[in-house]
Amino acid sequence: MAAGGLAQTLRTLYDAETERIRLDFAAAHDGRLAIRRRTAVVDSLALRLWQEYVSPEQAAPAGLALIAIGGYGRGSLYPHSDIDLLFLFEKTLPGPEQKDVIRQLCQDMWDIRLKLSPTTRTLEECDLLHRDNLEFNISLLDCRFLAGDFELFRRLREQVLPKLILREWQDLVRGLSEVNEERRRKMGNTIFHLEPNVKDTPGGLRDYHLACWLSLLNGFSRSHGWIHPEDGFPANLRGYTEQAIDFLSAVRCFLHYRAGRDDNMLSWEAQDAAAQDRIGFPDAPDTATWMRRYFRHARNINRLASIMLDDVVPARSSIYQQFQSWRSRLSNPDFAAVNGRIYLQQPSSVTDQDVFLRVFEFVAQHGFKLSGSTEERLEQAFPAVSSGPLAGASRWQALRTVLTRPYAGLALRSMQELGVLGMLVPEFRALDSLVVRDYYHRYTVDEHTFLTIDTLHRLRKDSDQERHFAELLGEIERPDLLYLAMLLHDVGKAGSSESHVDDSLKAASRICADLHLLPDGRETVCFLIAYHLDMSAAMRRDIFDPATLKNLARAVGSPERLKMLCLLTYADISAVNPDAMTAWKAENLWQLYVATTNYLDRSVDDERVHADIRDEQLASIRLIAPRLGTRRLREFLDGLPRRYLRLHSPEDIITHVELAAKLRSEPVQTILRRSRDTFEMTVVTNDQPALFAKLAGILAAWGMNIVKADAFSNAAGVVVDTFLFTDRFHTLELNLQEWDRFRRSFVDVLTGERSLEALGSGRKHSDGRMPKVRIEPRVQVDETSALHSTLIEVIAQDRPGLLYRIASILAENGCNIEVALIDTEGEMAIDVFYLTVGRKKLPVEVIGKLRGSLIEELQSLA
Amino acid sequence: MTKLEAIIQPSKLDAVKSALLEIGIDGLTVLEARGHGRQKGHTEFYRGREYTVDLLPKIKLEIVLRDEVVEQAVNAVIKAAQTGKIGDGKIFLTRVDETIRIRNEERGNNAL
Repeated sequence: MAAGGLAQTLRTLYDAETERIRLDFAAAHDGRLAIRRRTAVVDSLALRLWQEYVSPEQAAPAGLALIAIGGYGRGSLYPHSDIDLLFLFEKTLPGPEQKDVIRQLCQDMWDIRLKLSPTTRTLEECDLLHRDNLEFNISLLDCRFLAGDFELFRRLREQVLPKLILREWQDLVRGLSEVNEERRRKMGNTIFHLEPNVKDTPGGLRDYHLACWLSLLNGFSRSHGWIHPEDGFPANLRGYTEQAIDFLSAVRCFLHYRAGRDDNMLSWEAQDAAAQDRIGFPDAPDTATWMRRYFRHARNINRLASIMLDDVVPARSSIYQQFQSWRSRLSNPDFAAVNGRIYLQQPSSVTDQDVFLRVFEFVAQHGFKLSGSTEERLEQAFPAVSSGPLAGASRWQALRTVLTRPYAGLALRSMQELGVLGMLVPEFRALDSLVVRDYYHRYTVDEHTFLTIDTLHRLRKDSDQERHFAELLGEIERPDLLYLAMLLHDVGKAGSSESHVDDSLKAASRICADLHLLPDGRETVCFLIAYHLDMSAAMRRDIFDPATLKNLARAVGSPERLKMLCLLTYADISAVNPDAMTAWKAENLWQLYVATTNYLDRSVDDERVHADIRDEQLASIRLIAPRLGTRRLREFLDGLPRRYLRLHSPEDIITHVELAAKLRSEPVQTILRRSRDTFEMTVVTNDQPALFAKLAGILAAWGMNIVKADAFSNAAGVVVDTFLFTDRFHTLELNLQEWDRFRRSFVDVLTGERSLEALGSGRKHSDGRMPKVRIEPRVQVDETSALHSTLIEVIAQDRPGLLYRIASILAENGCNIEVALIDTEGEMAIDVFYLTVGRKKLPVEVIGKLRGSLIEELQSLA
Repeated sequence: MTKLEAIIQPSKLDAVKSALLEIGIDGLTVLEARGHGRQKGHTEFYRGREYTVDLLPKIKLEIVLRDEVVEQAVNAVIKAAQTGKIGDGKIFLTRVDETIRIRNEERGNNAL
């Protein structure tokens, strides 16, 4: 037959057969059958062309073989996949005549419209490791004889390849692992894409191929021979893998037929169409459920590839081995860490609820994944463990421990996969692999949530990354609440209302109560969720416009909350997609944070509570103390800065109101509390000259180191000053009887029964430690930020007694402290004072004198 | 054909996009930028450190237009981005010789 005529005939044949396969697929959705049938069709075409151009005998000539490699070799030709063919020569590459024959064969295949990738090699070339073309070496693992010299093929498969694999095992595995890592990195290292690529996204078909190759290589390493790839998979995953490959094969065929080309992207439109046609899922009720099925299968394939990588890769790398060996020293009586996987020391131990939950804590602490056998044990134990009683406080304790550990994201993903997160927070069941279509978001809702938590933990590990935000994270007092807010910030996306923020807030409020969080913790979490889009929204406005800053500052209320909201915003944007947090956006967010912090610090004196404060703003206080009269509460709050309401819990405010009522009979009221590392002293009294200096002086006399403080006064002249301090000499810590004497000293000094000097003020209590960094003292005066007072910010080296010295100088210069905000960051004291003289801003001459005296004093202390 | 490049305040992006859409211009390129003209920026203090915010965040738009709609587009951008304050930005217009759509090699106004 004339060459052109043959190609035309075969093309007609191919088109007709291809159409039959397509119609059968459309009816039965059997992807595996479709790819096998296409492979068989292409085999018959290749053979016919071989007989036409190379040899009328299928098994001739000697010294040349036609071999299918890659996907074609595996017998998995998807409707528009490339066809990889190897022309294998025994000794030398083809001469002009053979080249012409090969060209003719290939030309006809192209004319049939097959996408052919032919390659010509000698047996010797197949024995080399192609470091710059590792794909060729890997594609040979799937070689399949088509025509020609079978003995030559046998030598390739039984002699050359085994020798190459055993000799280059380490480089092959390492290369495969690197190619895989690069592919996964490009895909964001997650299976949970809203529009996944069914071939290349983690959990896709490429991961299955990777597992097959690793299984073959592992088989050689153990038995020096070929095995069936699936025989090397963990036994418990074989059934899941079979189902997943049935599903993914059907989906990939569907996508190829739909696009008419090698398109593996499961776009939103394709998801709708696949769900409607019930591809791979005959009972799919809707797209969301169909996508959940996709993610379930992708999870299993991802798990398979991950286990195969862990089993194969470390075995030959000495550096990796050392690393793993070091890690294994972290094993404890319950869990063993071996080769980067967690095993149970006693397999039956996970029936105990405590051990069951602690395994995730171990994951979160050390960053190891669970071994296949551990996962299996946990799956088996789950029904009994989840049906047992577990108090809300215990659930919060388990969750908090995981959330605050460095590899929280890894643990949370395992918990979500095994249903454990849903056991602790039932609302998370509805978020499992939830696709909410959004042009900017790339991941499912649960994966986005875990990525936000990853983002913050990465800040702690990588200090060079966005240094500002990393520093901010180090300053947060309750990171556990921030992480909980992050975990719950999008929980409402499973809801039906138009505003996911409202739904998230309702759910978070319920969850916090269910977890037995204390009221202030609940309030903080709910605040962060309610406002989690506000900083992003502010960034779309003019971030230097005072109105923008004022609105944001009013919503946030306190610097601590602003820090938390800023970090939540940073993590939330970063987890939308890998390109979402540009350097431009990060800088804008930081500038917005700085400008709002400054606004907060500089507007305290002007933003005061008025007697006509709205009832709803008092609701949380009234709720706790219904018997407290509204009038009494309003009178107390009148004139206090709004920040007071943010800094103190409703319970504290009620206590302050009650203490203020006692001032007529006992003019100095005090509260002393101890938290983990610090003590908190609150003094409620009537204002008097140099009050703040006296309080700071008393603390200095006792050798206490003030870490934070705030001083507020209301319109009636009632002062609420709170000091957070460390007990450097353990005076209060070790002597409970000293608590009374300590509190009594405040009463004595403020009522004039005892002088500060008699108490020993000014005494230098040095602990002999040298400062690690030297802070240059600075005094900044701002006359414009506050309407009624002059703002002075003092930056200095922190040291015991510093605040007393500063406050004394302010008093000596006749300044009245309207508001004081005292903070310490590392070795730096940052003190902000709103000062008046005669209820007015400071006169120019006072400012000059004050600045001189402060600088002189601070330099003498340095 | 004319290329319109506009430097605007980030807060005005949505308004400018809507204004352009209203006159039928729905294709544009948006770039995140920093810079300043006569608006020199300002200084912020944070934790005792001084931050000079001299390069302010801006958005740069690029649109290639048929000549007959250029004036309309310029007016739309001005109307949407103008506050009357320093820092509103600028518009630059330059001639474009040719436009080619890569997908089907269409040229000229058809490719816009």
